Amino acid sequence: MSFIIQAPYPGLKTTLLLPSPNRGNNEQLRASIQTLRAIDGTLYTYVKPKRGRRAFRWEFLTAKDKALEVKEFVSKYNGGLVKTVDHEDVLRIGYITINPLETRGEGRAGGWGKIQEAVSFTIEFEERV
Amino acid sequence: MPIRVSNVTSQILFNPAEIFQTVNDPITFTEEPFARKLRVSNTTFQVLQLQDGQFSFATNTLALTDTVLFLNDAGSRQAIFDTLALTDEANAPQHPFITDVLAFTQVGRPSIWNIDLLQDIFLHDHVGTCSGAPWSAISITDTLEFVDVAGQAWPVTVTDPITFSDLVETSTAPDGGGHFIDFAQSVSAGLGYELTSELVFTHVIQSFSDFLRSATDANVVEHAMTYYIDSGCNRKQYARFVGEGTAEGLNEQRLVFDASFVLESISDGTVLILRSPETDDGDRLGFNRINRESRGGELNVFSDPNWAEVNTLLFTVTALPGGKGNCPDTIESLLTFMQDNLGKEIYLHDWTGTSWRGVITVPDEAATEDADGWWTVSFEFEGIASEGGVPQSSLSITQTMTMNADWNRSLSDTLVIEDTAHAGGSIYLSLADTLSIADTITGTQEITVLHDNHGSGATSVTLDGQSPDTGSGTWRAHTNYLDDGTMAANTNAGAYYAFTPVDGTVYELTFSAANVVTYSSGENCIFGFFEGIAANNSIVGSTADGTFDPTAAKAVHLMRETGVSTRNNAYRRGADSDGTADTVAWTDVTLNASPDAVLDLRITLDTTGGAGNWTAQWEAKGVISPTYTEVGPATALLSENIGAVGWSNDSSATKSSLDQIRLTELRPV
Repeated sequence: MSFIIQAPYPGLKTTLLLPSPNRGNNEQLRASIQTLRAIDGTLYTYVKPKRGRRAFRWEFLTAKDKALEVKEFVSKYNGGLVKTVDHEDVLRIGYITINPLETRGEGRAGGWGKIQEAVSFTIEFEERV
Repeated sequence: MPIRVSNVTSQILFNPAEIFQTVNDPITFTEEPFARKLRVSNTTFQVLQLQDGQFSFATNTLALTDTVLFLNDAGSRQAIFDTLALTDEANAPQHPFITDVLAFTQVGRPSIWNIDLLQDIFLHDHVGTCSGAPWSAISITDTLEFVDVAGQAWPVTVTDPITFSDLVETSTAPDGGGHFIDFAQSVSAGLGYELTSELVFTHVIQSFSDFLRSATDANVVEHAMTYYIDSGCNRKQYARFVGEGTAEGLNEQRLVFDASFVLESISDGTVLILRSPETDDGDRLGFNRINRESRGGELNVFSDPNWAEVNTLLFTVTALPGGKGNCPDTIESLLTFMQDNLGKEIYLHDWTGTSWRGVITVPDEAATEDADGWWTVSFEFEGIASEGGVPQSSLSITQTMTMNADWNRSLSDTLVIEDTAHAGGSIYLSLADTLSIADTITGTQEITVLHDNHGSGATSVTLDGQSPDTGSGTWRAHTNYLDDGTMAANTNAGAYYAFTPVDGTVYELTFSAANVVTYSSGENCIFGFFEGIAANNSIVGSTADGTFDPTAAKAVHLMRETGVSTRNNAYRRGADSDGTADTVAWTDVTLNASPDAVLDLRITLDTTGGAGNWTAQWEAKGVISPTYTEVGPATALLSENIGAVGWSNDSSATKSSLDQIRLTELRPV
């Protein structure tokens, strides 16, 4: 299953196809609470529900050529909505929030693209709710 | 009531080894056949089967021969018609399905007993040799056509290929020989009035439609589609976005490989070639973006495409030799390079063929000698990528026509490259038409660094008598001019280097980091081309500052004091004996209003127009700016009597300095 990112949403112009992310992808709530305990022991909570919004983090291992394409994509659409369809076919609309986008060389990789180098990078994404 | 008429002849032969017989079985209908349910068959079988496991040769021939032979008396003009037509036609207007195949098939299946297999299908169209005479010309027409036509009034799908295929398959590499498809057309004539040979490959696709099925408005609707085949291989392979439609795809990436890892100084041209860095290199793209949350917790993100982006590269290079044994001292060269280019823009050409222009931002990273004589160093580079070069690209279209005859009446040789795209009808998805013709002129370039205070320049040494950093010759300068590009005391004199331009060359004379240190009101610091060198290097005053002979200015920049609008920077052309004949303020308003800034100056002297047509163009820029700005347009010189380059000051209260003077010659070949 491939991983698809498209932008700009909703007038999609560009499609980015990535392999499935590495294991270790994570997903977190953006909600937070602040607690305050009164002198009588009563616990008060101040809640920031953030509309139930979630943030996602995926790490990819690709050929360097593909990483260059990802870099171009993020540079072009870092301020707009994008559409993602993840490796489990879940569709999400939101923003790519990572800054800076850093690609890291992971060694030589024969047959991986023309440069034949493996590169890893992380995409952070936050839903728009 | 159905009527069947059959005429079948069958002859089947088995053994002995070779038998040949003729079967002649014509059937002719001369009357109109019956009206309905009439079946007419005319079938002739000749089956020759030879069955003998050990015989050496077998012959199996089916021949269709059409021969007409007439013998005419001399002068007879009787026409001869000899036609062999193989026609296969199916015509059934009311039938939904038609299958109509005319096939020429020849199959030979060798076994292990075969020694040779020779199997050819020939379509030969041959007109035999005819001997005419000049007073009785013979007209010959010889045509061999392959025509493939497919058409229907309202087609759902029309596919109409013409395929010429030539395939050789072998389990081992062929020993000699070859495999060719030749399209060859040859016309030869020993004696001819006209000789014409035209070989045309035409591929035409036409689409006509009157029924609109969709409407496209590129200003409103954009669409892009991408293709991807999900497989284990494709997940590893690079599959770039492949778009179709009016939408904008991603930019083409720079994919040129097998390049060296090179650091190149822009300021002095120093080139340092390193081994490629370790594979844990980093590429960091940073940008500005506003993240805001509404009171209700909604996330809003905004980024202006014009906001700056920062691209940082991180490299670690290992096993750099430290100069022990016969190894070069590359680590010292690298540290020296970084020291000489502190804060300056450089070119970084990486191993993928990408060229970056930027600054080494962490030059103080410690280099470590982690083995005896071998060093490891890391550094960060911040810059922007530019397109790399594409080596080994060759396209050659050659057409040659030669004629070797005694009586030549005409010889025409035309090479036509046509590129046409035409869309007719009402529906089309995409139409692309590209014709590129590139023409590159190469030349020889010679760079002479006449002065460089980053090199041998020293504050305690006078410039007079010094040799340039590259090239030959000697500086002739007043004693107050020092070898580090500064002046020990104010003087109205000059420093000159003998140089005489020649025709057919483009010269670029650059003064890096030119600066007016102190100035006197109304006076100038002068940089550029002069008439010659003063015999006495200690002369001062107007004979030494480019106003009069022998050092009269011919094409120079003037840098002047600040705060006086009428005395800002200017460019000047000099006449034969008057170096101040034509002075014009710099045309760029910003640079013109910054007379006391430290600037890079450039004068381009173009002598390719020949004597009497030499021109000069004046440019300037800030020292950190990547590109020059024209401050004086290319203008014909008032005097081409140039014998020196250099700089001078026309006031004892004016004092200047500079970093480097470079003279570049470009001669087109």
